[in-house]
Amino acid sequence: MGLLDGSGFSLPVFEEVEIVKVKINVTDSAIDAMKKSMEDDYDTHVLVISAEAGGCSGYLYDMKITENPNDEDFQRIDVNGIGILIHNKDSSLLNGIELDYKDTLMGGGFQIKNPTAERECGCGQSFG
Amino acid sequence: MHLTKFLYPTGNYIISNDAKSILSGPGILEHLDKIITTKIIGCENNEIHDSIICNSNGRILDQLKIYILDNEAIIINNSINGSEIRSQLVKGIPWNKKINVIDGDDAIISYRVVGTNITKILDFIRIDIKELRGNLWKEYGNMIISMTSGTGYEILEMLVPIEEKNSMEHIMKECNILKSTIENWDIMRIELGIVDYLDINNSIPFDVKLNHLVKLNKGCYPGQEIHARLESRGKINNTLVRLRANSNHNKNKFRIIDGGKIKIKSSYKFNEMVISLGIIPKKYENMTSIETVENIKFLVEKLD
Repeated sequence: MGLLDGSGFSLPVFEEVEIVKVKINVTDSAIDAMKKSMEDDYDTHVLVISAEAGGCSGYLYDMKITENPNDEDFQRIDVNGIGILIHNKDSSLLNGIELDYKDTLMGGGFQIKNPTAERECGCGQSFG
Repeated sequence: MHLTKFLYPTGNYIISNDAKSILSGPGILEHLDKIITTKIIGCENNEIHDSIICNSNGRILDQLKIYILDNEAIIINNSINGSEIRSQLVKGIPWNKKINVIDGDDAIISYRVVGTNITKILDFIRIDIKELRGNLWKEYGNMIISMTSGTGYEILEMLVPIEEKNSMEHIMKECNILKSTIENWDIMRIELGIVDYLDINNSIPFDVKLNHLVKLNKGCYPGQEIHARLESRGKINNTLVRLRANSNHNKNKFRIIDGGKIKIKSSYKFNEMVISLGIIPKKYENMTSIETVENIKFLVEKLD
């Protein structure tokens, strides 16, 4: 595309974020649920909790069990042998969260309470 | 209103003061889809997608025109908001996605051509007008051309590399299309009912005739909860109209004698008249005129 091959374009825009040392609280029921989900992969896999654009309030929580990315931009929190990773870019948004698990048919599953969120969506998956 | 009195016989062009941002990398449509009010997933290369971006209170931050390329998108919005929109785009990029946002304000010039015979320029560069219908863009050399249509008008939009400004202006001259001013463009867009940043900024989309850019069945986006609540409870109380007043007023708020307010968003003066786009209570939309406590009578013209 010739239009984008010319001069005058900036370098990729970089949004400076405050990096804080993350502390999170994980309830016993969430620890049990994580152990079930991860089976015997504690050594190789981690739980990544992140914040992405979207949702009614501006950010969506996301949780992924994935192979350890071994990336120094993540902060690692060990909970009963399970590694939880939070990326530095999300540290100020997710610092202080409580990870819980509710074993109910309606509205059950992992839930995040975020005391620093200014607003939260009714479904609990979005915050801002 | 005969717009031709403002136009050179063939047409006029302006250099629009738009912000231009380039989003690149795999998954850009998925990323955008979470932020904007319309469904962009599924749109294809060469399409143009109109949308809006709102804050979590459901109020408009800006209107976007998105040109979709393979793994890139060019996003056009108002220049006042260029940095703010780029910041919104960067903030929530997932940790495992390589998406870049680039500022193209100093690299691309945005031309807008309006007039009675804009096909002349298309003939000159040998593009059939049919190729631009249906929200598609077309490449000519290093530029991108598209067309915006509404009731009674067609406008050509051209994105041109800054290096080719002189050759673009040579093409305009060859086609007898003259450079116009932003003020003249404002007159034309108010008469044609084309909304600008001034008309929509910080408004609820339903209040400024942008209902078609709110898709409540696409999933969450910032402001969606508010939009869904307003829509389901029938709380869409205001609308945007064109107003004509035989008075040289310069206020932007008026109280209607029968209750409610007029908020003037943009206007121009012509022959002792003030012609504006303004927000009024929806119940007055079909009236021919409304009178205000300030003793000004506004003729009301419903927008399409």
